[in-house]
Amino acid sequence: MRPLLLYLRSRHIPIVALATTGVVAMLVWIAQITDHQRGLSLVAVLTGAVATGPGLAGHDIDLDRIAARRWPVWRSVHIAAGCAAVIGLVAASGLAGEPLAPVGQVARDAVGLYGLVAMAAAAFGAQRAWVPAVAWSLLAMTVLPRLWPPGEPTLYGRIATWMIQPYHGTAPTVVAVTLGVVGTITYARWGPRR
Amino acid sequence: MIGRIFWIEVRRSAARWAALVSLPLMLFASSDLGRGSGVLAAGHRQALVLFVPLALGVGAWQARRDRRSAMEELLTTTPRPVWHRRLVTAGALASAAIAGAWLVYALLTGYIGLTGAFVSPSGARLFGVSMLYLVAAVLTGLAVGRLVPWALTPPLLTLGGFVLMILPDALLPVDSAANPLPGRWLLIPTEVGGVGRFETLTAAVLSAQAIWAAGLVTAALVLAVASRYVRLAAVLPLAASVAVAVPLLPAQARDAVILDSSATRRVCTDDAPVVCVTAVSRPALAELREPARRALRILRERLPQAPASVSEAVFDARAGRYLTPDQDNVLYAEVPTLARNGRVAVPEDDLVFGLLVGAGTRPCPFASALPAHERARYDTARVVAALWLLGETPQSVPRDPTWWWWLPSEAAVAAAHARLLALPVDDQMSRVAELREAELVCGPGDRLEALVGDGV
Repeated sequence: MRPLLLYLRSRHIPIVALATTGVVAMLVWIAQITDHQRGLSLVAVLTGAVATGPGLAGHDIDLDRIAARRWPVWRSVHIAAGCAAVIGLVAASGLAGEPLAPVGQVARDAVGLYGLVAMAAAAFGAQRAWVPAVAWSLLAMTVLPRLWPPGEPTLYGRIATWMIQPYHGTAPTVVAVTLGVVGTITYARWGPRR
Repeated sequence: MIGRIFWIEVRRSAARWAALVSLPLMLFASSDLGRGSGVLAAGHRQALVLFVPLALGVGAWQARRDRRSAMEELLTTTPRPVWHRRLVTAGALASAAIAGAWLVYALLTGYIGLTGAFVSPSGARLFGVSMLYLVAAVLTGLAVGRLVPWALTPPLLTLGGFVLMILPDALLPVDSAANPLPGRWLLIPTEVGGVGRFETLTAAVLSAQAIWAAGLVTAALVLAVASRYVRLAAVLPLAASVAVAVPLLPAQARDAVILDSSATRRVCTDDAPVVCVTAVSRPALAELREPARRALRILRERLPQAPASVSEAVFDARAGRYLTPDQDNVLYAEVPTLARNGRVAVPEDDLVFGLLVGAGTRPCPFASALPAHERARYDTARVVAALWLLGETPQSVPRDPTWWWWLPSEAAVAAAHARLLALPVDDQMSRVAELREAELVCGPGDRLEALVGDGV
């Protein structure tokens, strides 16, 4: 029990949980007053993913590394649990009325974005882990769709804007799962960059 | 000394990221460059929904630098006043954001100029105001990052900024004649009142927006640089700019937009018969020339009264009609152009057909208010006149839904066309000529009945 408590504390999990819950609650309220503006569910999932980001490294990375722990397991459970928690949280918005988005879509976005954040933590460091996920999602919600002519999006278009596509499509799901698996493995294997 | 510190700060801070914030404008504008730099600047203003959150994030990221590198304590021991240091950082970030954005705008405008499309002087002014909003966002990011120096601040501020930027769009009702948006909504950074190809904002509205944005910049600067109670002074520039800007705004947001005289300026061929387009459609002139002259020739050969030159018709979206001051002598053309490069979007034959619809007239203003079936009859009469002038069959009517969605059904056109051809030849000519006369003065009456007789 003690290692778990210490891990939770060193990864700022209470603050992350509190901040994410607060922001998601606010987004649910905004969704109600704006008659379900598109993109809010993605912002809710993103909030969870980026809030996890800084906690993907402890206070002292070198000290963590020399500790005799099975880090790959701790790290992958961290990502998976965070992902599951945010899916549950956003799905629970359904309790307060109409949910922000279908659970399938929330799950897809969460898997892909958590993988992206984990990958970025391994590549650029935990402090910068949020940048690719936020930048890609904001671009996909604003300018990226303009690269393709209006109408039915092409395969490349659906891949580039996977997080805003309808969730029953194959290509966006494949992208999300790939990101999730590769990101989690990368982070579990190498840990956060110093 | 300050200059050297400034350059070090430009190189060692998040300034490079602030400069990159506007880079996605390239993606945003890539499919729209044929519409000119005025539309580019208006598009950038709407894309602030992306740039403002990014700028907020960059500012908040920069504000955490001292804490990230565990320098805060060391820096408090220096005798240099703290605002001094912050001012240089803020200056470096703001200049980088401005330089990056203008560089992107200059590159895109240069490309627009090279392709012969319209380089709008008023577009630069519109873009200048957007710059102020961008700088205000960077400085606000700095201020918030300093106030809440957590690792979570930059990402959450970015997302919060995005939600804040999409909120007005979701909450505001759609502008309509019955329910017009009040002018003060023009203080929302992304709101440009729907500036189109031929349009720009009035000078008063641009100045109001510039004053308001300058107030935002000043307030954000005070928040980012000052310490403790001095920060409360940020309210003053905000209040002052609102007090000055609001009286400059029109009562209704739609009155903020006017036709841009430099965009509607005529560009003509040197040789007669003269074919003109607006400055915005200059890339289409070469392709319009021959079809336009063919249409003039057909009108001259088949009708007693025919125009002598061709000019592009400007659609005044506010008034809901084409500006056609001299339809007797000028054949006004709707030129379908590609947004990508401003060239003509349809085949030559379709262009001639479009010019001859209504025997060489643009639809009257009353047509847009007609009920659907009357509108279909009106359009049928105009299409049949074009077919008669061309000597073509109803099957030859263009069908590309992008440009010809309004065409009436082929069966209706074929029936009316057959009835017209059943009349004596002289009668056919006089009836088409009468249609042209009626359309020129926009007189009342059922055009189809006048053209082919009763019972259709």
